[in-house]
Amino acid sequence: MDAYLLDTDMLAQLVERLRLEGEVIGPQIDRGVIAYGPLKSFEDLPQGWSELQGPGLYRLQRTGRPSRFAYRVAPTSWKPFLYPPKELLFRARKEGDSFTVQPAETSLEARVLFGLRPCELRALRVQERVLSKANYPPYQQRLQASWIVAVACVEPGENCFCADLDSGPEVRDDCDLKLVEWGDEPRYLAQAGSERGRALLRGLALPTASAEDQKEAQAALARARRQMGRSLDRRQTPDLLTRKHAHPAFDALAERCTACGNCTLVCPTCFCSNLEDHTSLDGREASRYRVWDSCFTLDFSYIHGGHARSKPSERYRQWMTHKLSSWQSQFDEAGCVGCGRCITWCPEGIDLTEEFRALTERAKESTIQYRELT
Amino acid sequence: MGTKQEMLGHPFMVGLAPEHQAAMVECAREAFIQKGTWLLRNGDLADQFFLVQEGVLSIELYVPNRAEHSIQTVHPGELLGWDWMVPPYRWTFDVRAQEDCRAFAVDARCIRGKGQVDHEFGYQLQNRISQVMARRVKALRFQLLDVYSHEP
Repeated sequence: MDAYLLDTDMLAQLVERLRLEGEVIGPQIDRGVIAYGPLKSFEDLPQGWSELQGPGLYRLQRTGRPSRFAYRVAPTSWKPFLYPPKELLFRARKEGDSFTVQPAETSLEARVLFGLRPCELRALRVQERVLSKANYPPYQQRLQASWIVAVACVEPGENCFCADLDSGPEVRDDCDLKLVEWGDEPRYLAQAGSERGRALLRGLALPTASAEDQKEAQAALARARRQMGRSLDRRQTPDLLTRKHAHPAFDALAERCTACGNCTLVCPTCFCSNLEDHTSLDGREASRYRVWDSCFTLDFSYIHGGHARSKPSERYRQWMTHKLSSWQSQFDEAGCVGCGRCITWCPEGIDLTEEFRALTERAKESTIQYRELT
Repeated sequence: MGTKQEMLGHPFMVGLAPEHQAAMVECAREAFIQKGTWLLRNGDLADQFFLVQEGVLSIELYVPNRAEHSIQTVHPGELLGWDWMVPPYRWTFDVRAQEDCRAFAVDARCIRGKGQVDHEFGYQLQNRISQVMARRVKALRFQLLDVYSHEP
C-alpha cells in the first residue's frame, strides 16, 4: 500500500483538499474539552493540547509539543453525526376521512469526518452493522455521504483498553484515509483505505514515506499497545456475565451507580432509541420522532405490570452484560471498543474494567471443595 | 466424617440392597459448600446430585425485579437435584447454600451408567427420585395457591 510522509504544511494541505469534498468535522477545543465539530480552519485542530482522563475525571492539559492528535477521545463520540439524538421519521396529515404519511428525508450533505480514533472507527462499523440489521437506512445513507479519516493512537490514556478489544491502537477498520502522527516535531504517515482516498492522496503530490519512516510509525504504535491504561480479559466474557447476575459485586455497584445514564450517552456503540409521537392541537398533523434512549432510565424496561429492572445496579448489569457478553451472541462481535468514555464520564468513576475484574476474580475462587470418601 | 459408612446412613441410602449401596458409594465424594455459594445454576449441565448431611440450601429462581426468589429449602437427610436423571440433563433452578453445608456429591454420569447395566438398580433409583419429584410438585401446587396474593 502506498504510504506518504507529511509535515504540518502538507497536513494542512490535505485538510484543505478534503474541504472540497464536504464540510470537515474534526477535533477542536470547545467549552473546556476537545470535542468534534465543524472545523473552520486547519488552525482549529487542538495543537499542543491533550487531556487527562481518569475515572470520573477529565482535564485539558498542555503538552508543550506541537502535536495535534495527542488527545485521546472527545466526550461525545461521532455518533451524533450519523445517528442524531433526535430524528424525524415521518409526518402524517389528516385529509377528510383518511390521512397521508410523508416519510422524512435524510439530509445527505457530503461531510468529512476527520480524526476518528481507531476505537471510534470500530464503533462506527459496529453501529453500521447493528443498524443495517435493524433495517434503519439513514445511518448507511449518511455514512455513504461521508469521508472517513482515521488517526491512529500513539498516546493512549489512562482509561484506554482498545488493544484488548482488537480495535486499536492502529487503524483496523475500513476508512478512506488513515494517518499516524508521531514524534516531538510531528510527522504524519498517510495511507489510503479506499479507491477515492488513493486518488485524493495521489493528487496531492506528496512525498512517499520511506521504509524507515514506516518502521518508526509502527514502533510508536507498538509502544502505544503496551501503554494501555486499562485492561479487560476478553477470554472471560462469553458466558461469565450471564452466569453472574447475583454476584455481590453488583450489590457494591448499587451503592455507587446513580443511573444518570452518562455511560450510555457517551458510549459510541449504544444505539437504543425510543419513538415519540407528537400531534398538533387540532389533531390534523402528527409526527413521529426517534430519540436516543438509555437503558439506565426506569421506564426503559417498563413492561405492562412493572419495571423489569427497578434497581440501578440491575441496569448497570444489563448494560455491561450487553456490551461484553450478549452483544457477542447477538451480533458476533463485542459491543465495547475500549474507548474508556464510560469510565471518564461516570460521575462516580465506576470503572467497567474494574467491575468486570471483580466478577472474574471471584469467579475463579472455588467455594466448593471435594474430598474422596474414606 | 466423610466415610462410606456415614453415607450408608443417609435416608436416601437406607433400604437399598447392599450392592446398590456400594454402587452409590463408588460414584460419590464428600463436598463442602461454603455459605452463599451458588451450587447449581439454571441451565448448567446436571452432572451430579447431592445427599445433604449438614446445612440448608435454597432452591431459587431469578425473577426480574424481585431478584432471586426462594422456592423451597433442602435440609439434611434430603436429596438435592433430579435434573441429572432426565434429558437434557440441565438444572432447572438455581441452588444457593444458606449455611456452610456438607453433602455427598454423587457423579450423575457414573450413576446413569450403572443404572443402564443393572436395571434393578436403575428402577430403585427412579423410584426414589420420583418420590423427591412428587414432593416438589406437591409443594409447588400449594405455593401456587397463594402466589398471586398481595403482600401483607
